[in-house]
Amino acid sequence: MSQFNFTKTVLPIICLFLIGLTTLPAHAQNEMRVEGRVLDAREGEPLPGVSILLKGTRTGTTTNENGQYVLNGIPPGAILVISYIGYNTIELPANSTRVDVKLVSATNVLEDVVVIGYGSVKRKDVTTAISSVSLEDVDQRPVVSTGQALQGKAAGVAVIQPNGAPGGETSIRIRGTTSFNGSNDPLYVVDGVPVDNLNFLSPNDIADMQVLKDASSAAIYGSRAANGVILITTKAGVAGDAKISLNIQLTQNQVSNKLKSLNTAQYKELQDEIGLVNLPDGLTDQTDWFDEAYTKGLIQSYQASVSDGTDKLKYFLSGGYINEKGTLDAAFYKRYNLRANVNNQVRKWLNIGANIVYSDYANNGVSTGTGANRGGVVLSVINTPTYAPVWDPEHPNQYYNNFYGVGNITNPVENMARSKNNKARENRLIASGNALFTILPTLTFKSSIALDRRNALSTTFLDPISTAWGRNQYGEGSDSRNMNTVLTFDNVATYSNTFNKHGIDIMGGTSWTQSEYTNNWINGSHYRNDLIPTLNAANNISWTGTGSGGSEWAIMSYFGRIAYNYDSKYLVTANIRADGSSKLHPDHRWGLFPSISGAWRISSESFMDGFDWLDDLKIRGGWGQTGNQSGVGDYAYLQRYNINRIEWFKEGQANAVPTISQANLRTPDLTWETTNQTNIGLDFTALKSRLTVNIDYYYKRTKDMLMYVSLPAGAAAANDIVRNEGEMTNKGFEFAINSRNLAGPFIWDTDFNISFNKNKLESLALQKIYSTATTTDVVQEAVVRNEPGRALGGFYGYISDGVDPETGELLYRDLNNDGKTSSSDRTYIGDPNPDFTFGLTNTFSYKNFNLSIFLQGSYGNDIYNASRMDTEGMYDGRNQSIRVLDRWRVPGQLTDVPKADFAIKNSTYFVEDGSYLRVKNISLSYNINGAALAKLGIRRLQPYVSASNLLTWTNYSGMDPEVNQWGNSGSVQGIDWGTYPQNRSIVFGVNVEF
Amino acid sequence: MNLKYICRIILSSTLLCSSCSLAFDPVDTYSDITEGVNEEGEQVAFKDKAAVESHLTTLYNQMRDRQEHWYQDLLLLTESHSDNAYGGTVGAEVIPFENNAIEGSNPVLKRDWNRYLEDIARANKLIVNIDDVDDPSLTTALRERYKAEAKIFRAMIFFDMVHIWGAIPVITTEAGDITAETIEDVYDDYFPHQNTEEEAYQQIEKDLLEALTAAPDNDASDKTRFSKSVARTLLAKVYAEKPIRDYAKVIQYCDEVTADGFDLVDDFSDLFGMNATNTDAKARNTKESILEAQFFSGSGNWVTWMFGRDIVNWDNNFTWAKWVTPSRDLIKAFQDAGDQVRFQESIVYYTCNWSNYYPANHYPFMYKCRSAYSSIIKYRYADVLLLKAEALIMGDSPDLNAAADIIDRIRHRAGGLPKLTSSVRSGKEAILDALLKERRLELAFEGQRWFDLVRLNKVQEVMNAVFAKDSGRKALAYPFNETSYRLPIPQEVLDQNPNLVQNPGY
Repeated sequence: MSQFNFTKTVLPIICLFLIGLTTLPAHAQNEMRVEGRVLDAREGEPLPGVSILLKGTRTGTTTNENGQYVLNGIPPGAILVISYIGYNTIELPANSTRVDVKLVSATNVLEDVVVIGYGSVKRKDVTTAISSVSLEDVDQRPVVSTGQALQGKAAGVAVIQPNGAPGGETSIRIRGTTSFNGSNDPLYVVDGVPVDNLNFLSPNDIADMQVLKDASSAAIYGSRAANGVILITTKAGVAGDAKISLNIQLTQNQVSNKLKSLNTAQYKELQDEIGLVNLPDGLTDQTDWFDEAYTKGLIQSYQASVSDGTDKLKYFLSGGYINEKGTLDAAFYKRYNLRANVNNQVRKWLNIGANIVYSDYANNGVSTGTGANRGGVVLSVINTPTYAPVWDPEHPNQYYNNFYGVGNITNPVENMARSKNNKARENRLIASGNALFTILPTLTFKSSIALDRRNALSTTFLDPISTAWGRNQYGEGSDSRNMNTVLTFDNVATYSNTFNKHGIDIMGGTSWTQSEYTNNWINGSHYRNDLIPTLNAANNISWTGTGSGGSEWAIMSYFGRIAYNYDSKYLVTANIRADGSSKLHPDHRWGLFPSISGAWRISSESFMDGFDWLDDLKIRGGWGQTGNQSGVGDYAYLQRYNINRIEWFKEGQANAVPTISQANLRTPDLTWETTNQTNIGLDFTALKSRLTVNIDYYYKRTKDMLMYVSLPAGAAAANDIVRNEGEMTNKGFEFAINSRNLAGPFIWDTDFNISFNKNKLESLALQKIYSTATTTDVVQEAVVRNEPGRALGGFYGYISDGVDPETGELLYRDLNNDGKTSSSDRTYIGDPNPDFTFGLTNTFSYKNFNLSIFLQGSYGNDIYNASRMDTEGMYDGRNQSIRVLDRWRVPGQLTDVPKADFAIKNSTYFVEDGSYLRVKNISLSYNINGAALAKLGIRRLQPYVSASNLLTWTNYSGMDPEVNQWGNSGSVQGIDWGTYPQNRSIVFGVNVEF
Repeated sequence: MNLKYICRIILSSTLLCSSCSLAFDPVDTYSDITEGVNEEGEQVAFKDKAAVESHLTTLYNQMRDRQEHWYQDLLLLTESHSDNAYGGTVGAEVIPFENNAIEGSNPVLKRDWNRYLEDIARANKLIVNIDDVDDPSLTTALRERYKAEAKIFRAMIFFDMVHIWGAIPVITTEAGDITAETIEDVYDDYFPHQNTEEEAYQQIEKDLLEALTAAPDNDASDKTRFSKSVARTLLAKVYAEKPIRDYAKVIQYCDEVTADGFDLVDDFSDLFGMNATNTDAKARNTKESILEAQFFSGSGNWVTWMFGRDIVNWDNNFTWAKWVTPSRDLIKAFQDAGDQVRFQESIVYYTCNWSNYYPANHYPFMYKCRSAYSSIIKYRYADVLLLKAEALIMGDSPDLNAAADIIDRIRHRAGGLPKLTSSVRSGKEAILDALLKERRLELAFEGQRWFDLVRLNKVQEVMNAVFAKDSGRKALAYPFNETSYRLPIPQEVLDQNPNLVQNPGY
């Protein structure tokens, strides 16, 4: 094993910092007292909590509730730095005893501080592709998860909510899919702590979100940054600004689209044509299964926070509760979250900070993405005949189940009942503390430690009475628990100084992350009745389905950065990171990930002096390498064995021990997946920051791509191996424009972003073709094929040439002209990758009204509508959608819908254009002002109303074009198969601040 | 500010982790770490005798755990793809077997191809590595015996495979580790070419002959073992097949199986029946059974749900249509023969919720695996006897009388059916037809019928005719022809391995 030598590599860097010390600033003389008031330049209102600092020192104060401040001991001519979040920082000379200030709200984005990995820079000094995400309207939208807040807001960041299930699961891709089987999720870093997901985080707690998109920005997170990095800073207290905030929000959800099924008479007619089911006469419509299954969903959200601060101590406390009841009754999501951020300047040279977040969330899903014959709820809404009642009249405690021989379908209410008593709960505590040592004004050292502990408990219970499956199993239950503890220990030294016009920042550090996971599970069956669900009441504890386990991993990292700029005109940044991962083979576990980027601020050149309207023009370029190993198992490089229990209860085997059998093939050279990325960008700011444009082009090439290879059976006792197997490229173009179209009493802002990405699987070493995504049981054939030379996720099947007017059969093209329709006639029939995705936000303010309209869309992607195979396939006794009323019935009939019982295959007949443009959100709020409120101490009272997914323009015929039954998968996209439908939401809420 | 003090904190906290190790061994899994290395430091396949025996148990457990391919799917082929049964459900995986529309995309064939080859690889692991095990307690005799058992298993699997596909990759080695350096060398091991059908049979023959010396003798109280008798049964069956046909050897090995002490049970219902209280199989390890998989309370035979009711758990999974629905043609064959005993042991009528092929209130099901505790008999003596009769008819010097006596013996056991008439006894074609019919009725739903038709070149004659005779059968998609004798190599397998070639006609 190659050990990275710390002493030789990092120590010299630290020593370098120590050598580069500069002298402390000299003490001033003839001190004076300065006072004044800080007002909002536009509204004229006093601003409390504004920081007034003596430049170059830590001496300063903050304004009181009336915006007033007093500073003592100011040397004449000293510069005051007046800064406030959301406003442009200004510097004024203290040349009189009264300095009144009008702050302009932050239109000058160039001075905004952008958080980068292990540090921060001003926007104007950024040399890499970083998107800052506006979270302004988050508190007015029905946003349950952080991913939802990100959708459509940043160029190059594709967010899909693959289904409408409670909890708002999202699939986030920064600049395309880089890994085939490895994780494609970005790395999330919350307040400096890397976390695997954001389920624990309330979007309301987020102060700032930055997306590091290119390799040169992300490389500082080296090994885990191949999919980009999302840096999140949570809210913190502000000195002098004691604030209590409340946000109360009620959301009503309903399914955005209703599909109709055949009535009993139409159904009987269809079944007579298919000829499998013999229905008795006299059946009448009894149940509208859509109305039985779907209800109005409701989200209640209550978020409260308190924050305050002095010069030295700042704190932020928040608590929240969100409860989402799904449009399918059994599904829900609940979350409680608590957060405490504290920061204290203990000594001049020591700042201590702590962030503690506790979150407890629970959810339950319903069975989707499967046919009505296997309990799929969404499809059974269409597939259950309408003559059936919900409950069986002959057995009042049982769901109605006699469908006259329709193969194994169950009604949607019964299907929901099958998971009704299931519950997945998780609680998570992330506690982090950090100490910032200011050794010299130019040299700091930060040490932070974080504990991330997750406890999960998942229980299921299916009673032995009401459902057919429950009766079959005599009731069944399970209890699975796991605990995961991740410790992160970071040490970072930063040196920053300016020599004349030479600005230099040097950072070096180490990071250790260690994870420990334990789990256990019990399964049981045979319950007396439906009253007690815990497993002590199960007679039969599964002898194969009970056990415990665990695993561990760790990552050690060393990293450094040097940034140099000359007069903020020429800027260069270089990063290097060395990572070692326990998951990779000891001989190949260390990876070195360098990056370099540079920028030229043309607008700072003297020859640009005449262009007063131009604030900033900068060309950026960068290259870097990032790594990925997150998709592989904890011990993927080792050959491992399955443990198989022997029937100890069989005669002669009372003392048997388990056998083991080879589970996989070892990978003696398993190493990092590496992405090389080149980025060229342009930043443009003009008209006093009223117009900002960012343009980026990138090219990413992923090599040694980690893949789960399933080899042909037979060569060895196991077929599965995790290998560095192939190459993939993504190239793309991003464009973002932010414009403040109108200022003044009527404000109109427009933010627009658009992203183009082309993905291509370049090469694979072993197996060349991967087929996946098998949907309905009637066609057990994979519909997705991935192979080199193509974008991931292509749909593969037969070309259908319409309905034969003579026979009513759907015609399939005989591509190899052998007279048969067989698997060799298949070809690529669709592409789920969009040509581009975009988001457009228009915000209007007039007096106290705010109106925000957010449009978002996707163009050029196909959807494979596998749901239609089950709702229009007409292959057995399932009820169908009313589209089959157009089916072929008599020779000569011209129609698009084939006859009943046609030969059904994966074909272009089920491929649809998935492009869409939707009004993702409209929100309208009103700020109530008045003396009466002020007397009550209410600083802000803002009721609002908003609507989500109000309008969608699409040709897609399914429930919703934003869909993927395979959720977050990299290799399978755009498949709709009984997927939990999206919601249309109406929101009422109020923001209050005291 | 004490610079020294701060620096000390910083240095100590930074250095704290420079010694942290990244070596983590699996917590809950046996792996290379626990299973040992040899003197050269290479990982070994088996570290001791116990590891070998554990693997042998794994091989035997394939009989208990993997009936999906070697039994359930095989029945779909031999029964639904022949005249004995219909597919049973509407799924695309079964209907093509009924109406002769099987092609490369069939998911059942894909599953079977991969699982059979996984079985082969498991057997290979033992055969290839057992001689290298560094454990004196694993004696030479034991090594030879275990190897023989694995070879019988391997021969049995290859025999099923070559029956289905003809040209298959005959793999008898274990491929090495894949790394960037070795990938060129091992590629063809992991992506093998096919061998000819004849080469496959030669390997099967070789394995069985080698196994005959060291395999355990038949144990009358345990018919789950890969015994010498299983090897002999397989040899008899293998020599009856076209590529290495030798009827003298068929007779020789049938006689050796007889000499091992096998006999017909007196009561046909001993084979597949239930005990008096319907709580367990009526019998296991009968004198007629040569190889069987057994199932007990706590780990029952789930496959019974695929075909009908589970008698020990009456309503278990009985809400959906079942596979391999007995055909009208087979029912008629039983009725025409007046064969009540075997009819009742082969087919049962239940009332069910579906009416795909028959009215729901009188729906037939295949009945030879009727409860979760029923055994699956892979080979039994009646098959061996009838095979001998076939060899006596088809051999170079036919002995039709001896063959007829065997058939009569089988018929007598089946509820005293009358002997063959003298006209049948004396004509080779007539007695061959009688033999084929007898095999059909005796061995219905035991994984034989399609292979009988293939072996005796009867596929076109029988199968192209049955669609007209059997009103319940779905329309014939493509007529049976000379390419129908082999099934298609699964398309995904071809996609996966470019070294494979599809069979003609697909």
